[in-house]
Amino acid sequence: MSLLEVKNCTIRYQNGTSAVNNVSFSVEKGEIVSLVGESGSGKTTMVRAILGLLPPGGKVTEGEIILDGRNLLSLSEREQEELRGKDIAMIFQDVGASMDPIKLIKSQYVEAIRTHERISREESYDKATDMLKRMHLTDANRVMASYPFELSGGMKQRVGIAMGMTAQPKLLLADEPTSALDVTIQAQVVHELRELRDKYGATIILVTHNMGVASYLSDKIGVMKTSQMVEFGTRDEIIIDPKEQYTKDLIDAVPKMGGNRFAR
Amino acid sequence: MPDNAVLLEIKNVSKEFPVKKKKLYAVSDVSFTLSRGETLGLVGESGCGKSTIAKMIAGSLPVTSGSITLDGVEYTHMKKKEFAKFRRSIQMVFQDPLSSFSPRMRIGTYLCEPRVNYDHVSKDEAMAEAEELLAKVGLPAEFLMRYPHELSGGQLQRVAIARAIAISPKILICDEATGALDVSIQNQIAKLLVELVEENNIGCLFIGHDLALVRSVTQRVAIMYLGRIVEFLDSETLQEEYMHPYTEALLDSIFDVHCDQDEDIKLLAGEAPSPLVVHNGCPFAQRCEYCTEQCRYQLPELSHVNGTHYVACFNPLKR
Ligand SMILES: Nc1ncnc2c1ncn2[C@@H]1O[C@H](COP(=O)(O)OP(=O)(O)OP(=O)(O)O)[C@@H](O)[C@H]1O
Ligand code: SF4
Ligand SMILES: [Mg+2]
Repeated sequence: MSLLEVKNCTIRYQNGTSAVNNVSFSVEKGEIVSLVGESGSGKTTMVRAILGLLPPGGKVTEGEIILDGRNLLSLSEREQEELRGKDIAMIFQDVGASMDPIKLIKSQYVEAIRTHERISREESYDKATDMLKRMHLTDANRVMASYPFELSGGMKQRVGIAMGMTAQPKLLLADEPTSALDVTIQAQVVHELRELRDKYGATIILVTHNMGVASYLSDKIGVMKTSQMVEFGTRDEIIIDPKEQYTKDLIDAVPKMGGNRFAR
Repeated sequence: MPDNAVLLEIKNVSKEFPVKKKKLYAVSDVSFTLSRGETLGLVGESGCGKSTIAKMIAGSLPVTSGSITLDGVEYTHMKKKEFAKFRRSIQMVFQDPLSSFSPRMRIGTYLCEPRVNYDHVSKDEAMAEAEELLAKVGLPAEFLMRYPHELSGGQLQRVAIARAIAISPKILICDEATGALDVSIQNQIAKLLVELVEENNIGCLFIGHDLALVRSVTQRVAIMYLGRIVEFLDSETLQEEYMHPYTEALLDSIFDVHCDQDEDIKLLAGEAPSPLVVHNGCPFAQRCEYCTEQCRYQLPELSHVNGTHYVACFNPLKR
């Protein structure tokens, strides 16, 4: 059985247009699956629906989302709340912006752990520093004693991943986790995501517009265009042997270091 | 091909910001020229001073020292009134298209504004030109009547470019102008820019994070680190000829679509040092794997390699 199964999912916003139209795909345990495709094609809407946090007015009108045998769409608000952070965690594009600017990392992190686990502050602190070290933030105590603005973008993003992973969720959703970062820092974050899977068996769904990152990290890739999944397959099926014209165009459009230049 | 006449000259430009009784060295001693029909790329990590340079060229931020000359006229120390006539020659396009539009202004009005304001042409005349401008950037005339929220990000960015060229600027600065767009639209915008620069023989400064993209639309690329330009490269041969260790780190950080999944990622160690501290040595020293004793106390100057290639490093990579 797959860890996650999305079956014929249609998601609509208030104005009636479907943001996701009859989308199906599945994710096995320990896999990294990327969703790529044009902006506004429904990638973020799709992962938000899995998290159970669609923006106001958004609703899954058809289909099923099944995690570990449980249909997420039939859960109560409370049950969903419990699932978030514990079974499913999400990292956003700009973690820094979702942090409380006037609170130390320490108190934000410890608080986040204690909403899901009944353990002492001390234990939470240790757990947090342990996770930060796994994210290669070697000076974990200094990071804990910092305000968000005192950390660089890459450090904040790694803190965000650490926070998301502390409860060892079954599924980690990452929406453009590197697109606000510099290329050198992006490489660090990609490295951490890869290690989470290789060393700790994490299952990850990644939304990204960086085809290179998707190609490096993914076991499977889903290509979305105007609310539909036009192609879903293994990394090699999509990158090396794409069937759909849209996928081919997308791969061709990626600027490549050795590629042709437009300028003369 | 760029015409060799120098259009814009930046000479020893520095910018310091006062921050809590300290000085933040945002840009230090930067010099370069831009010719007609030429696009220069500016690449480097967040906070290294790219936008600060752009703003100084556009005249929206005064320089701390140094000079900027356009068509032989030095304008860094001009009076406000005098500069007002100058300002139109330098136009900018920014990353987030939607934020530079006012939500209740129709696209047509937005496109007419600069011509009406600067050249006092009639509304009708400006509107006719606006239609031509839209055609130039590949959009239908019916967009004149639309509001910003009715356009996609890529379409808005085209409109922003159309407005920037409406008053025939000599210099166009694109600061992360395609950063928020998906690759296919990014590609269209890149092609459009190259065409406009060629057709109108303007000079263009193209700022971005994606070295592969920047390379594709430029003739030369300047690599920046902590307020300084550390290498100038020819875009065509960049990958074969780079010599600076930071350029190498940038290239190592690119994920190619056809990459090998089993290959380890080469990571750049550490974080960029604080721009609040004066560094005596090479700004890259703490993170550089080729760093030697000399690098810690002496600043490497940009030196000529050949052609348009310059590098600031004591131990440049041999190739
Ligand atoms: N008005 C200001 N006051 C004080 N410091 C500033 C100001 N504007 C910029 N800085 C600082 O100057 C340095 C250079 O900033 P700049 O915006 O030029 O970077 P950038 O290269 O454009 O970065 P990015 O890629 O993130 O856009 C940074 O350390 C920044 O924090
Ligand atoms: S001057 Fe020294 S520290 Fe600086 S980039 Fe060159 S080798 Fe590295
Ligand atoms: Mg900038």
